[in-house]
Amino acid sequence: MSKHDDDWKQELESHLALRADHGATPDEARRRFGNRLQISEAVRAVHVPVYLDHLQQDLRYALRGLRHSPLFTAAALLTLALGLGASTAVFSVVDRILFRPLPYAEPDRLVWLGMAAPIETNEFLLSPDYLTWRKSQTVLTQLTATRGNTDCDLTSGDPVRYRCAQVDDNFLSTLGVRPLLGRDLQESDGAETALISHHLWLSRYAANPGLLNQTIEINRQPVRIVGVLPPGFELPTLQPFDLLQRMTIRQTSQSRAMFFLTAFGRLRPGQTASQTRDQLQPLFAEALKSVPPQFRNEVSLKVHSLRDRQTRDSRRSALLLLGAVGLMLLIACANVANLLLARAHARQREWSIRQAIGASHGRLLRQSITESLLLAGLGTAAGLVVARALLALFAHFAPNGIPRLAEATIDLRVLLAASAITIACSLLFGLAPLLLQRGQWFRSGLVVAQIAVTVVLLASAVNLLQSLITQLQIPLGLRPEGLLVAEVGLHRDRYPQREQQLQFFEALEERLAAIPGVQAVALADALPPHGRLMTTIFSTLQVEGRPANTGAPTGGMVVHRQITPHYFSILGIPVVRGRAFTEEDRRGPEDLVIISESLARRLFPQRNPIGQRMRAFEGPFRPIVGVVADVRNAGLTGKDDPEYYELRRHHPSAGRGHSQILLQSTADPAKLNAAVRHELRQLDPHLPAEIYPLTRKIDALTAQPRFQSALLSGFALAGLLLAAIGLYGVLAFLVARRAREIAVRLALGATPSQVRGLVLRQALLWTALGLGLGSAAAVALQLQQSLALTAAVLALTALLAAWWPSARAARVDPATALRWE
Amino acid sequence: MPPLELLILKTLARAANHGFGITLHIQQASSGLLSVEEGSLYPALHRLEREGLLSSEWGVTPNARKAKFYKLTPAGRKRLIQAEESWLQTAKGVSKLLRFAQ
Repeated sequence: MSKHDDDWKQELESHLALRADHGATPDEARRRFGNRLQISEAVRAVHVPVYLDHLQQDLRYALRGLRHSPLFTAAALLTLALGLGASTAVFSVVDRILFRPLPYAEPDRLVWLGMAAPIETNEFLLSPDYLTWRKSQTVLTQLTATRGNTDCDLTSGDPVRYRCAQVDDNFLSTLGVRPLLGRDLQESDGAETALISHHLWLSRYAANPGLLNQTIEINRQPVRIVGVLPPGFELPTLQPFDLLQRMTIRQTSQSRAMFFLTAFGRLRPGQTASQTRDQLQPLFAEALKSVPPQFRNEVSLKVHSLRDRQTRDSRRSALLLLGAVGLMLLIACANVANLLLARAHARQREWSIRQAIGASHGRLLRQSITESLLLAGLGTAAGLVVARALLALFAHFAPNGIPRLAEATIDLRVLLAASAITIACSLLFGLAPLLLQRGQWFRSGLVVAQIAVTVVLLASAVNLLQSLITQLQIPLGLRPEGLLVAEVGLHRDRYPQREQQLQFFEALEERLAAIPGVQAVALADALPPHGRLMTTIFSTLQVEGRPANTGAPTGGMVVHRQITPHYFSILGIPVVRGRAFTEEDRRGPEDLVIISESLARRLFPQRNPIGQRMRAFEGPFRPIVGVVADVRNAGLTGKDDPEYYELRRHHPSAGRGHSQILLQSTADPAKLNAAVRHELRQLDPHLPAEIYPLTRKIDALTAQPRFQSALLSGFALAGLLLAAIGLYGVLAFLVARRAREIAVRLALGATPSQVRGLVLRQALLWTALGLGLGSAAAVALQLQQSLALTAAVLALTALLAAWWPSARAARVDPATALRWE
Repeated sequence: MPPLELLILKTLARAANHGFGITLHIQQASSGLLSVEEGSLYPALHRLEREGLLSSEWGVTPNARKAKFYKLTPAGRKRLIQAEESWLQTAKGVSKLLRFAQ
């Protein structure tokens, strides 16, 4: 570009010289040539289209302008980076959670259906009903089900715990998924065949196609791999799995077991989920007949779209995040607009001068727009960096509860959309008042609006934090410090009989108790506060001597556990009445029961429970020997249920395939871990086990709500920071603009502190207005409890933001300020 | 083709020349009837060069002045012949019309 310019300059000089040689004076030559500027522009225009040339100029000018006002540029870029980066990151994550494509054919036609009942959080179908429905239903084009995942351990070599998904033979075809290699499951398949997941095929077998039709040893039985699943395939239940097998649910003469299945179907074209549900009512009514009459009211048929059902739990947090980020984006927009407004106003003098020497109004406007666009471009680039960092942060710290978080990548469309919104917003706010000549009101309005939005944001964050702290402060009811947990699950095939299971765990218990440093060992089938393996309906509990509950409502759930005597003492659960289980009880003739305080209150509101006998549903009545304090048993955020404890006696009925083992010991944790594994190996070298401290499990429970609160707090703080920047910016600008007025006041006798008070009062006025508006909105959102703290934080921040400009105002030197004319 | 550009091409058909020289030549060859404004000449020259009808080279005048010399390219020569014919036709048509209108 400038090469042309230099060339032309020389050509021009040469022309003038030649004319001078020809007989004119240099002045005459120049005059005859005409308007050099215009001609040069015309020549330049031949080589470069005019608008491009102007664009270059504008860009260079804009860049220079930005460099010359570092505070403005820094504030604007910071605002843009924060606002755009955060909103992009969150939108990308939420998009991943709520809108990601499911790896099935036409996934929006897939539904998750089943019966909903209080005893089971997930909808289910009982296996006999499922079989009937599959044969006779015509409402859905396809119906399939899964029995869930079972442990299937690789027993050749070092034992590895795998999970086998047990599904019906039409599972993959209903989902519209074809195996990558090999074949799908067939009706004739059973436990001896399986399909392997892509990630296992890749990680353990190096994607070797020769694995097809080979057998591997699962639970000490040969299993033939007949197919490989495609990459990216996932179960609709989102449970992780390694192998896919055909489930066995048909009742045979030996087993009349009923299974809880999770069912999925494909909607008929043109039908909705609710229409399907209505049309399935006749079949459902038939299925209800097998449910005891007192529960029938509480059971209903549900048909949900698969996507909705999958996102049911995360939807609320996702929407909360979106809301928070949206608010933050608003604050950021207002900030940028205010900054642009202030800047435009400050340059009005410069503009009028330039207009006086010939610049067109359009050209000046175009320059200003170019500058805004340049700023927006730089801000978007900065926002991209921030978004990347935030996503990495999310993925690192987020608990496993959020599905597919690690795969969330920056959706560029989102970044561009957020950027476009911000630009449009800023341009609108930046230019409109310029044309309307009502700058002052607009700026004040923006600051007040910013503060109001910040109030809402802060109040929400405080609210969430407060409820989280309250939740976490409810005492656990147990003392998890220093306890080690070993989770052991026996292969059904190796230990088919209960006696064998009992024998194994009793031998293990003895061995573990003998480890040096171990003070006590206890077994349980599940551990609080997170684990509840067995639950029953309250109304099935019967007390001897009382009539049974019929026709009564279910009364909610009751948790029960099978434990060994040391359980209460190891966990520090105090016995409130009666006594705990003892070792003699284990050798005793009958089953004993201990109930929790809350259960005692409900079953025996007036009487002493000790000595009473109770049972659940059927079987012999068992004596209650003690009452223990309540323990949290619904995670850390759920509502606890009453509980009772049964003793694991030295009797085959106490045989269990799975057990959690608690160890209390003074030994070094690492050494203890190794010792436990050693003892396990002695008993069964093919048994995998998970060993960890109990506190780790409990901490993991708080991970989800803690992460959410941290996130929301982060946004609230960012919003607060932005609002503070906004307030500071506008005040600083005002002080600079009204320096003359301030100087006059000072000259007429006002003290610096009076001047400072002037600025602070202005800030206070805006803050008060913003607080008022924001509080009204917060109350509308039912956040009134958090308002006190929010208002205090905001007022303090506003004061801090206003301090520097007010100090500047007080330091205005009347002599220099008044001379500025 | 606008007249100025035709004149430029015709001027350069005889010999390469620089901008000032073209100005002089047009004035002299038209016996003073035509005089070119420098303001329009140079943009036209650059335009013609951009279109590939002229090529330029820096050289030295007989007076030892540095100057940018323009000359016709083969494409320029072709274009000149076309433009000349087109002009002559236009001129004939115009004069016929004028005689007719009389």
